[in-house]
Amino acid sequence: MNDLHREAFREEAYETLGLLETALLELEDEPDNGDLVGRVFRYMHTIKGSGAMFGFDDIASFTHEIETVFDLVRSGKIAVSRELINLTLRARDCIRLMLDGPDSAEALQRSEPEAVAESFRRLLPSNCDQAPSNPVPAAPAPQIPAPKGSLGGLLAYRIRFSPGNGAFLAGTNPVLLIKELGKLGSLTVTVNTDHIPALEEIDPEHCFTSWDMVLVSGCDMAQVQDVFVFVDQDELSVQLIEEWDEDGHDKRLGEILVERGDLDPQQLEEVLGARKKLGEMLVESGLVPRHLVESALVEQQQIKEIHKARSSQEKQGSIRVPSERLDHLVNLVGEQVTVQARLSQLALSEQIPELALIAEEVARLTADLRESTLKIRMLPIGATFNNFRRLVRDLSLELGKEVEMTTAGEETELDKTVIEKLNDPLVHMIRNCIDHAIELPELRIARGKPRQGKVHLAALHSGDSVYITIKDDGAGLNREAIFAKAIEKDLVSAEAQLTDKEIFALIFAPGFSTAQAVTSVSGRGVGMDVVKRSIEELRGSIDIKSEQGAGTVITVRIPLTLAIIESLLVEIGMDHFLFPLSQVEECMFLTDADVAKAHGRQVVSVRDRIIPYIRLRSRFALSGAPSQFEQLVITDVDGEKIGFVVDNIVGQHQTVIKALGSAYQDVEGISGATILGDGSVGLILDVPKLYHAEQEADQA
Amino acid sequence: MLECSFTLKDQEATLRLAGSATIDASHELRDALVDATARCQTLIIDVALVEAIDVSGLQLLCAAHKSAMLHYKCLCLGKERSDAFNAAIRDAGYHCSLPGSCLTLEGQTCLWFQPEAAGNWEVL
Repeated sequence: MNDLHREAFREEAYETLGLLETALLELEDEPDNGDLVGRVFRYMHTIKGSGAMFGFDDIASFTHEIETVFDLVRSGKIAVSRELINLTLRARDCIRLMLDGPDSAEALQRSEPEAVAESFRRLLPSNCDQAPSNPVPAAPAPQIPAPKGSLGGLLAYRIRFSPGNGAFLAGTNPVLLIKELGKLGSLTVTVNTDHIPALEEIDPEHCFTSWDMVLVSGCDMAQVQDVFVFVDQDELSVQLIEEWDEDGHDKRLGEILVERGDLDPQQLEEVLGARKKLGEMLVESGLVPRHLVESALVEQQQIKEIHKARSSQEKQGSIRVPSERLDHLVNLVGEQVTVQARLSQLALSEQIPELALIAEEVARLTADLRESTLKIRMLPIGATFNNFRRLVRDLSLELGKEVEMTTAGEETELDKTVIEKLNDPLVHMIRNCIDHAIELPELRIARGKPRQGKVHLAALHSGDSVYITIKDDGAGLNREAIFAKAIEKDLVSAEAQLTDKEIFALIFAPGFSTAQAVTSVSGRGVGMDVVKRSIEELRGSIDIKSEQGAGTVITVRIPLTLAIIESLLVEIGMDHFLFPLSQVEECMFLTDADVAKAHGRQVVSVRDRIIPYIRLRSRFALSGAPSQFEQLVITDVDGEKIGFVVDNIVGQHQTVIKALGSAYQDVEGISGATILGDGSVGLILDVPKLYHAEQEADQA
Repeated sequence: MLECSFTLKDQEATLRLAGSATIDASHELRDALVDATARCQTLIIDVALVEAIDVSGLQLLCAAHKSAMLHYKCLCLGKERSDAFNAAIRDAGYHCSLPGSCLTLEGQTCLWFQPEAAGNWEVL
């Protein structure tokens, strides 16, 4: 089996498992919802069928047990229960680990799938027929791309049904069988009346009719043949139709007739020499009976229509591309941005009007290309939110709490890499929220709150950032407890006058926890500092608002992408630095008068507001004298205004972020580097870290 | 229960079928068709009152049409057809979109020919 196909199956199966989990969690809330039961059954059926097709026999046979039970749930013989949902979620986890490969499969306790399967078998009524179909289907299943005979997940079958003369007397009603077949998909029926004798000769109780049919269906071969289970196999022929000819073209009528065995290839060649239409010629020449030509025409037409429908569907649909290829594309665009910057700089320095025009055009195209490429990598955050439903459910059960999770802004898009890196911090915050914030049902009632706690996850796109909020209606942060713990851990002095914001920020200190007991969920104090660091590594920030007794809102701000950012390019001597534009509030000159007014302190008054500033030349110990006309870049760090003094502001810059080598990774205040138009390196400033380092230095 | 009534008026004969033309009445239907085709040159089978017809009945109409063609007679179905009849020919696939007939006789057309479906010739 081709590895590409196995990989395609894996990717589809991961998606199907995600959908399965969502459907199961919804089913838990709406156990009588037949549509949800049907969905769960179909997901299991898809995983089973395609698993078998691509050689994942363990998954196919394991899933068969679950599918059997859900077939009975579907028919109302087994009720949806909490036990069934729990069991199916366990089964889903088993399948996921089996899909991951041998390493994960080893991690999975060998007994787990067997225990789960046995639990499913126990749910079956003792007298129940346990097999809705073959345990492992031999033929392709729906929704999985197959190399041949597949019509976008569907399969086309050519069925020739020729009941014997005694069919009526044996009680066979061919029309009922045809109708049954029609239930499996789109069916086109062509009758063959050639063998019906003239009236004088006919035995009216004998069957002389036969049928050619084309079925387009998601069912496998066995399911098609099952319709004719009581028919003598000599009377039936079922073939999978290959939709393309060897050259990948739509099949022509002659090819279909030859393939069906209704026409000799040599005869076809001879007839093709004539100029009349093929079907007409074949009928006239008597080589093929007219009903067979008609039947073949119907098949040709049907396949064409499916291609047409699929082609229009594909135009509106999507394609699956490995993420590595997208990463490579983004890297290439990054290089292109760098080269474009060099071209622009050359055009500027050489002052050649024609070159300037070309550079301008290249700059415009590059900006479009950059924007389009980055958009390709954007994914809605909804899938990540859905993953948390299971987390909330399992944790609530484990802790004996009742929690409802609601979401908003699932359609908000973020760079794929950002979403992946965001998962762990969000998981940690949600776990903390359920473990520490949401009270036990009895306590909530005693506090006059609804028995069921609420956790609301929301995403909102604003500017070049996405804001993700986690809001709960739990106990809220205990300001005094946090402050006392911070004093105990020597994080602050007992005399310190801190705002709520500053106190809440203390929970991000390493090793900080006010939990009175360490649970399996949280309370070890190794988490929120890691969360903060992870968010900052994404060039994001985190903010907490809380009211004791009412709940907490944690807001995470994340940049849309990590690959290319808009920045403000500045100069200090011969060196270049870049501020992420999203953090820049405004720019101004720092005059001698401004400096004089501050009496030696590094602050400046801007519209009656005192703003501290940092001299980057001093901060990075750069040699040389400062510019005569220094400039101030005022930034926003967690709501605080902070200025940075530079020699000169060059302007806005598209910055392709390059990681710093391992030797420079620990340099504080620098988050990355970029190549500038002249080939030199510019350093991207980590504004929050610069600010916090300065604060710590002041305190020291 | 099948009722077959034959009428002849101005050289145009009509065999009216009413009720169920299913296998239970297949001998009766064959005899009525044999009798009717023998008595006229042009026969119209009126199926407006057919309440049920199965493959055995459809086969007999087809057989009667073949006999008529072989004897240079004309047999056709009446324009008005019951819903049950239309459903039966649809379910059993008794329709034809190509000109000509199963006997490949010049100028003859299949009993089940539907001109509106004849466009398929254009895609050969």
